[in-house]
Amino acid sequence: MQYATLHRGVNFLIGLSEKYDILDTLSESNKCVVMSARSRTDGEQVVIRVIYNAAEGILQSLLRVKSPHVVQVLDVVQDGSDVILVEKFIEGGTLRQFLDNGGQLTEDEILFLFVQLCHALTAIHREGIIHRDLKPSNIMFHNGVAVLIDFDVARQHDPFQSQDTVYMGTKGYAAPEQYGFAQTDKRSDIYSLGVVMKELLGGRITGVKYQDVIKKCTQFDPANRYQSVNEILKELRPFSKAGRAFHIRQLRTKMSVPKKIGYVVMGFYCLVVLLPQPHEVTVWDYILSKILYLELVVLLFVPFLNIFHIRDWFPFLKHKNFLLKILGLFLYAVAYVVLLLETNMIVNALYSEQAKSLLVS
Amino acid sequence: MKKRTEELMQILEKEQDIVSYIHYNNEDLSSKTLSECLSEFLAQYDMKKADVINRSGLNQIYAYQIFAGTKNPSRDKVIALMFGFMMSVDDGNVLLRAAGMSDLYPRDKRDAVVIFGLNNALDVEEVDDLLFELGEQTIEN
Repeated sequence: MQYATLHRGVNFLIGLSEKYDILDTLSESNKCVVMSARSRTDGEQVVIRVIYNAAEGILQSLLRVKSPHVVQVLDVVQDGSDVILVEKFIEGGTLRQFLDNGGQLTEDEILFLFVQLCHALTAIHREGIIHRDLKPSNIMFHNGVAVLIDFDVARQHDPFQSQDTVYMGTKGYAAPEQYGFAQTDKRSDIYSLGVVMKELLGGRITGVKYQDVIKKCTQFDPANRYQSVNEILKELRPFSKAGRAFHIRQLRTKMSVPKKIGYVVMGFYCLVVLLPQPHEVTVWDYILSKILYLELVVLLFVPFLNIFHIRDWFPFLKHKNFLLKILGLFLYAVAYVVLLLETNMIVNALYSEQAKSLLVS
Repeated sequence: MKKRTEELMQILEKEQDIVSYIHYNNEDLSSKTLSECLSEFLAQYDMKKADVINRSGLNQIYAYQIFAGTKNPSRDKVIALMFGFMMSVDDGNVLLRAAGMSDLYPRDKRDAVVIFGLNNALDVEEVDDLLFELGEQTIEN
């Protein structure tokens, strides 16, 4: 794992520009600007987040957070009153995009998500960080893993402060105390977590096996909520046993341009191979022949477009080591050839006599 | 319609009471920050921040910080932003004043090249080439 380092000042800003090529502005608000960039050394895509007037205290804490459910911070710089974060780019879509596309999750899948987000909050609360803006657009998915992003309005809990001076967060998800009634603490994140879960369940929690947990999370008075995320995890444990084995299905994600082009090319070849050939005498011959040809085309694209999520289960295809990745591709190529030869043999045996004679001649 | 600077100067010369001057000319007194000014020009020129920044040739992170008001840019960086906006010289001077800097001055050789660049819609690189050819320091990006 790459560990983040803390930098300060203009020199690092110059270093940052030399280290990364800024590709695009992803979003911009009066709080921050988010840019996509690519590392000049290894070509890795990253996200650069410039947070205006951010508290310095949060920097050291952010560097210490290590969780698969919290976005990995690669570099942090305190630049005057601003904080610049370089984060690992997470491929995948946000929960917001999923919901906006009409996506729905089962009760068990939501529970699985609930547990993952509890782990994310445990990791940040342990470092004294309060997210303060937990909502579907700040939750990303990568290979079925939920990752909490966007620490723009996060703050460090100050036990000596009685209330927040500035309201931050998002209406609908923010806890009542974030509107200035009291100081926000980890119970504010617990409130938002409950609201997100409620939304995922379509607003109706009656009959849901963990409804009491959600109700307690969303209590108006922080004193009546869970006092820590560990308490939630303890309560969810009996329910989550049943759900431990399943994997949240891959959420629909925004497809990258090269991937789109890949699909178009594959689609084109599929159409070409569907054209009738002279040896396809009967309908049966046509079907058999096309099974073989489509297999030839589609399987060729499978590892490159990650069809059937092959990179998740085929050996070495997802490996960080380049040579092992090549080995994975070689193994796939062997499997591809063997599968094609086998299919060819079966198809040839099943062709009509006329087709066979045409193929022989 | 805002009063011209010369007009305000004449009023001020005749004015006996500074409080009354401020009271009656309050709208014409500029108290905007550079950041506020930049936002107003974005609306006025109907431009996107990202496009202005790209055209200015400034470091993108630094430029966003200028827009956010968390960085105090040098005069050259404000000039680079003028080219990002493809501004008129008058508007460019408004920006410079908001940043607490002196107007573009036609008697100054380097400023004259910048004014020429703005008047002729040159981009930053073209103005830099011109400055270089004329032995002047290029715009510091």
